[in-house]
Amino acid sequence: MNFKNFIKTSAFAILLILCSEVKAQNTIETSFQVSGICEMCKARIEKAVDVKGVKSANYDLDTHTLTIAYSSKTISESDIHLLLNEVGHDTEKSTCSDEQYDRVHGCCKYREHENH
Amino acid sequence: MSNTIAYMAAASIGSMRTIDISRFLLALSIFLFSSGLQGQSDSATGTVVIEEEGKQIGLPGASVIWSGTNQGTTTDQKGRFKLALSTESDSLSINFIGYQTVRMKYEGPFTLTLERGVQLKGVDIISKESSTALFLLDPLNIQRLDNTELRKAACCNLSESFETNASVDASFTDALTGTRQIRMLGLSGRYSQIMKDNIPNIRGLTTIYGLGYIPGDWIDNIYISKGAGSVTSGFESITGEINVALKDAQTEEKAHFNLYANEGGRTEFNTNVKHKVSDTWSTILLGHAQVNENEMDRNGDGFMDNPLQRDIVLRNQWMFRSKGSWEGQYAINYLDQHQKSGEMDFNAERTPELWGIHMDAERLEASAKTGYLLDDAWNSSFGSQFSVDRYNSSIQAGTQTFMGKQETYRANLLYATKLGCAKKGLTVGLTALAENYETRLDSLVMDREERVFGAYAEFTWNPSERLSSIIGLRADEHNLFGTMISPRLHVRYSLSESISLKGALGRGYRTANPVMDNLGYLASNREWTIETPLAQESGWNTGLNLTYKFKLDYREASLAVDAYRTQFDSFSVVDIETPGQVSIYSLEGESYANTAQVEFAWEMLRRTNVRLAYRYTQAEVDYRIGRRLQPFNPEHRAFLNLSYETKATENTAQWKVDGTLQFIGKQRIPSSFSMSEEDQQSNISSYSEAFFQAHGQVSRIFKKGLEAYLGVENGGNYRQNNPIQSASAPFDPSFDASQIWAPIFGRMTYLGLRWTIF
Repeated sequence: MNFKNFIKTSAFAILLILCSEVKAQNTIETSFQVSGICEMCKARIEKAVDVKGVKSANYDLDTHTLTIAYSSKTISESDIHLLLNEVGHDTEKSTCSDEQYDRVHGCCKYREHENH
Repeated sequence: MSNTIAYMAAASIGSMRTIDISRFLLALSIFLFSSGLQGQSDSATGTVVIEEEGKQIGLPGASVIWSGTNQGTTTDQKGRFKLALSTESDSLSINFIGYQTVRMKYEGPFTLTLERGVQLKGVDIISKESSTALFLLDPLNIQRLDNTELRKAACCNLSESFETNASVDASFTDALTGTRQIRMLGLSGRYSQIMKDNIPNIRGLTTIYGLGYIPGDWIDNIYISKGAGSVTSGFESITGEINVALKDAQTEEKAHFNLYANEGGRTEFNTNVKHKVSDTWSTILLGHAQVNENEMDRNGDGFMDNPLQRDIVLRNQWMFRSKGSWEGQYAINYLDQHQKSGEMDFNAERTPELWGIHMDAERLEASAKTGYLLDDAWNSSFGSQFSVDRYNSSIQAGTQTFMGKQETYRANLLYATKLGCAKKGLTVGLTALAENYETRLDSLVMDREERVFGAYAEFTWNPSERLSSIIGLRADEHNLFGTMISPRLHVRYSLSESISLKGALGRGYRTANPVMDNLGYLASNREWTIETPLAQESGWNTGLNLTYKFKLDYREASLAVDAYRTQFDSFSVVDIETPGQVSIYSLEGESYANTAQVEFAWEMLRRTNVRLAYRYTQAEVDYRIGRRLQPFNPEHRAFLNLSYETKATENTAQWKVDGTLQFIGKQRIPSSFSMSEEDQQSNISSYSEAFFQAHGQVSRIFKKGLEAYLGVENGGNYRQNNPIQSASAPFDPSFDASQIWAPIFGRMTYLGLRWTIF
């Protein structure tokens, strides 16, 4: 393998990945409100949506907004809301059960905070 | 870790989203010590308030958590909280719905005012950063390699830590001793200022071997700054600065153990243990032992592929933090090294008929750094650094004997303050350096005593969000070389929030140590001719850098393009153009190095990162026979790194995979005895072939603190054929093991274990 081949191979590999993504063309980037109050919540929220079909997820603690990019072919937005409920976080569209809410750590009990 | 922050801050303000001078000065004020005072009792206390109509009201129910842990509490009715100190974190994350989330280092009881949507002064909002970080807002072009990044190249000392980095490359000095030298901006690492915890360390006689004296497992962070550095660290930075921040007494690791073994027969053990002596004093003990007693000759040339070695390095550091404004760091470092390489069965005493290299070295260093915060409001502070370094080495190489002794005493006093408004800052300082060198190469005696007194001033000026600059000037009076003036200028201009343009200009000086700088040629029967005295080396460096951070396919990506030129006014030419000779003389004519680099990094898929880099280097010197490219210095280099990690499970178990592919272009090889008489006479050069080198590593994290790794170096098994010329006649003048441009050992597998108690 010489240098030109190296460049070609790397460029090809990257293009291939890009193309496959472009071909999918179903990526939706959206943001919505998720309750959460601390770094722990942020980590939990981002990890909960680290699943197939989700390209990136970033939770902003200040605005309580989750910005998420996902492939609509693989996953739907409602699935994402349910995933978040599953780890104990309410979203603007769906609230988790008391049992699910119990899963968040003591200091992350965001519902209590809202009552103050 | 704290020192790390101090350095990063002192030289830069990179990771922070907002740049303001008060922050910079605060950072400078802690240049020599660390940020933050530890709590005096067993728990952290404080009050969280909000401001309403000019009055401070306690905020009940705000959450207070040690960052990255699940230890936390909420504030009481009056906004007060009390939380047991954590061993896992020293940063608090404070949050209340509708208010800014604040993450801050706990430095003692405090009252914090939470604000709506406004960034708080003096508090960092830290975002996730990649393990190799570039900084948009820093006027200096700094790259930080953190612990995570360093673990990707698990072996073994500083000279081997740059495998996953595109800006610094390491190559062997010769085919026998396994010694590596680094290159930055196309020039030998001796033109960079390499520091250990901000004190110039790898220089003088340790300019090459010194890299092997810092165990990789001890390193917390490495900061690589391309282009002329800051005047506060000295006059020796020509191509750039590398600061190695070691684990200190404030590390979060209570105890740490590392075992490493490789196919070449090398076994290593590293450890660090910390102890909190009192509220104000804490200490850390670091140990390293390395043994290789297996003689191996895979290429069948009769010479060992790797040296036999026995090294011990010990370090003890103490940190002091008073209730007032004093801080101090005191360290002592000891090294003992024995190395043997050459023909199989070589023994310096018993086998005079065999060709070999025997080396012994001993080094003792001590340093004291103390800082005092003079005035809070002005962020003015005073700091002092004192260090002593004694190094002794003796090398028996074939029939040649080298003896080198170095004693260095250094003092650096520094005062930093804010000027008038928050946009300007000033640091001034004085340095004194006294060095005694005694070196002998057979009958050639090269002794010198250096006494250097210097003064410097560094002015920081940030007229707007977009523009920031560091303007520095230092003047040193050298007993042998007269006055040295080193101006340094760094400017950063942000074209937009995500694109910044940086420029650097500066001058540096260094004194050549002809034998130690080029000790690879001891692995040959070349005849040394050294001009005495050699002029002091000096050069100008100019560079431009463009860093662009953007989103690609919804994920973070960055593109960094830079170009640097180093032009020497004075240079020690190392001339190996004539077979059987090595001549070192002062430059008549030109010597320069131009480099251009493009580096692209991208989170390609979740938890999957790719880095791709290409560098062009043109380093030329006017030899007595005419202008040539520097030998063994490839014009083209390219680099591809891929890393992937699995999603961490509940108990943080995880797999990590990392692979690096390096392309090394053809390199010029000076004429040698293997060529025809005619070609030798006319100094014809030949060229090596271009090749690829692949490294890979898999790590398994079993649970927090316990991890194992298995890796391979030179996975493609690329080797230089016949790396040693005249291997069969080692006492013939044509014997030469210094013409080295590729690995000798071929594929090498290693494995290791890390166990950390937090």
